[in-house]
Amino acid sequence: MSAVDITNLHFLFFGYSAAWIIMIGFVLLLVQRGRRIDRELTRLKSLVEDKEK
Amino acid sequence: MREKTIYTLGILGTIILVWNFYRIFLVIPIDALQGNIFRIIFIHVPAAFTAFCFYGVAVVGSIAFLYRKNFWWDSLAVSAVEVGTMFTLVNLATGSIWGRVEWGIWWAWDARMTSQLMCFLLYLGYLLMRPAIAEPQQRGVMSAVLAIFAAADIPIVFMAIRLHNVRTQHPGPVLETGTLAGIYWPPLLTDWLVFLLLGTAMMLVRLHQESNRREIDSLRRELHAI
Repeated sequence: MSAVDITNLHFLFFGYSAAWIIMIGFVLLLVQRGRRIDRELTRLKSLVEDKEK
Repeated sequence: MREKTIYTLGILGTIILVWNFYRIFLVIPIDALQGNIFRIIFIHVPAAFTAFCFYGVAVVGSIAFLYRKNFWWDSLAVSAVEVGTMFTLVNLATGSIWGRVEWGIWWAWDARMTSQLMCFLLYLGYLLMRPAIAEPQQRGVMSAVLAIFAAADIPIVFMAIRLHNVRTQHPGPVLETGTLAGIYWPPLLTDWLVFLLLGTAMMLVRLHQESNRREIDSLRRELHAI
């Protein structure tokens, strides 16, 4: 395999890695935000219940 | 039902993706001119197609929100824009890496690349603008207008390599001109399908989060009223 082919393969690896890092990062961001929203929702629901009592 | 749909889309997308990776890396021959780096087309092009599909959904959601004033449409638009922006970033990143190998430079300020970057920045601006507007109705209207306005960039991206008087570093159209060999079409279209499946799963997750967020807003108002 020539040096050009190896460089080509390296960049192909970087390209696919970049794509999947962006996608997985986005999914992790979604999960993290979902948890934060769920926590806030539970907290507010219990606060409303307490105030209504 | 919603969770079942999300998991089904995610699992189905992943299975097809793994099978398609087998085809991309082990079945398809090396390109005679570009070598192995050519295989990046199977991410680069479907990512752009997918992004434009989600921007299309955002435009539909935005128009429906302006017409009906129902916040579900606004949620659909923001969810689609977020997924679309992520796929645009994938397209830009893979394109830049491909360009580094083929042209020896990471970026060229030509019509195609600049218009695509503008598209990314316009929708990023949309996402950054939303939290700055507290009033939901105003936020929805302004976001909808911006989403429709930003979509005007999509035909520019499409036409950037098709206009005769515009010179670009980016190669000319290969998909509709028959320049792309028939063997490359199935994995390309399969990856597009995979991105659509995975993107729809992400959009549904985001849509649910938006409905929870609306509930949080109404609970906050209720708390202030008590």
